[in-house]
Amino acid sequence: MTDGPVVVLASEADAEARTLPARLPGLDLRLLTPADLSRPGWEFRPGRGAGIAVVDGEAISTPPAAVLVRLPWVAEHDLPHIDAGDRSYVASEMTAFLLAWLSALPCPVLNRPSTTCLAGPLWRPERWAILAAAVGLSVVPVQRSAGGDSTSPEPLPPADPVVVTVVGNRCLGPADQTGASRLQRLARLAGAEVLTVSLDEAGPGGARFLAASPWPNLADDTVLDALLDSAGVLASAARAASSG
Amino acid sequence: MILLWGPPTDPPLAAVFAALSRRSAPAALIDAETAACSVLLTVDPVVCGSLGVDGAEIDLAAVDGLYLRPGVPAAGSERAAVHEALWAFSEVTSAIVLNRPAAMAGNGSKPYQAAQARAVGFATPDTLITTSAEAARDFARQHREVIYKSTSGVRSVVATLDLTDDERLADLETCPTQLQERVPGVDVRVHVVGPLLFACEVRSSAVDYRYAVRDGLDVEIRSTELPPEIAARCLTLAALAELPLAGIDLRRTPDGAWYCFEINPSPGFTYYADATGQPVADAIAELLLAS
Repeated sequence: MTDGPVVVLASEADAEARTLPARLPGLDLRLLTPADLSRPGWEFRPGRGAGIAVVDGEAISTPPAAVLVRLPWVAEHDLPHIDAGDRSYVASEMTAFLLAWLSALPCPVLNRPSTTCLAGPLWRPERWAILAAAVGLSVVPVQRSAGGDSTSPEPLPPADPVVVTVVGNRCLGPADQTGASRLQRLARLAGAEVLTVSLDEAGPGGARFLAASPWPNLADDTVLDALLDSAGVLASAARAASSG
Repeated sequence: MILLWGPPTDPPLAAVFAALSRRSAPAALIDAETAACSVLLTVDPVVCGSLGVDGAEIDLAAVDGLYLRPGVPAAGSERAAVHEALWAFSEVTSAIVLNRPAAMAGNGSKPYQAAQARAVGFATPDTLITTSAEAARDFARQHREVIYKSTSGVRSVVATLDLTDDERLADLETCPTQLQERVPGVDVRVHVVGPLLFACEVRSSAVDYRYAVRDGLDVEIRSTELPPEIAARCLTLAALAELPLAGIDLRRTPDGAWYCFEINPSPGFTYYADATGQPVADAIAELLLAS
């Protein structure tokens, strides 16, 4: 792992992300928000290695130690400092820039972006259901209707789904060995280092797949520790503490 | 059944529909912007459902091929819900899809696509994406001519950077902006259709030939053959980008290097095919029918 801060890419409105620096005082952790992309200093030369990022208003050499991605894309509401008529275009430009930048960084990035989401696979339920079935999970059927008179009521989600978070080769939450192995395979095939999976335990055949997303619950210290460990940050912080 | 989705006046859609009709292939051209459409989609995990169009019903399980060139409906409308349901079907059907939405989304970032092009061996122009006027000036001094263009898939006119325009350079602070060395040479558009390639040279005095006619400049398009290694790179690039149909923008420099600029996942191939007579629409029809 390289030296430098751990960067959390998040919306200004992401309250959970904003708590992180205070919760992790031993770590050089800084928030990168879309407003930072409207500050002078960014330099990214694709295919040419190191560059300069502007994080929390300060220019830093890249790559940082690691990046945690909490932002699906830059939205117009992330850009109150941009003229209203330009926000849509600027949001597209910033998202396009971040997709390329995050994909190219030679440091841990959790998650690497997908073409549709900067935080990894943010798929429609139908695509998750197909992949979940392919790795051997039982799946709650997905149904949608639109247009005409054929609109059917959306099935109600279970009141209390079981949530399992996959972080690398770890499974956090109530999953047996077989289930954990399948969930890890699901995350691997989806290209996600971090994946939050919801399961319905109500079925007679045991847990059934309900949904998946690239959004870990950062309020959970166990999940946060696993994330930082996976990014190689905890080991580095421990080294720094022992040498200091 | 082959399903074509988009406005019937769209030249590529109309050309492929005509090619399918010449083959007497069962095909439907659906304009979800104007027709009364309804969609029922179930994944259990087998994909099934139905598409209602002006009172008729299409069994989604019977769709063997999909060619997508829809517009974007107003957010929150009933048509947007139909659009989203068809988009979801396009992601999961086992039919051949030209192209799947997630693969097409890669076109939303030009530097992301450029990394894919480099990965298969193409040269790409030296590029700086910056919010720094000072870095832009340094970059421009390293090259004879520098152009700027959008980083995203939002279409923009490629323009030459003017180092004396302090006001424009100050705008760089608003948003990371993509600057590139201008690469001299001849533009080559390559249409990849499954295993087939159709290449044509585009000669124009315009910086961006797409706007040559508008600017009163000339543009000449003619068929060409690619060297075998460049043809192979194009096929590998389309496969890497998961685009069985692609329009790849190349430039051959005077010293024989091949640069790649963009991979268009929904190419307006008729602009080129009308000038060259290349049977791109027929090839797309055959690809859709191959499944």
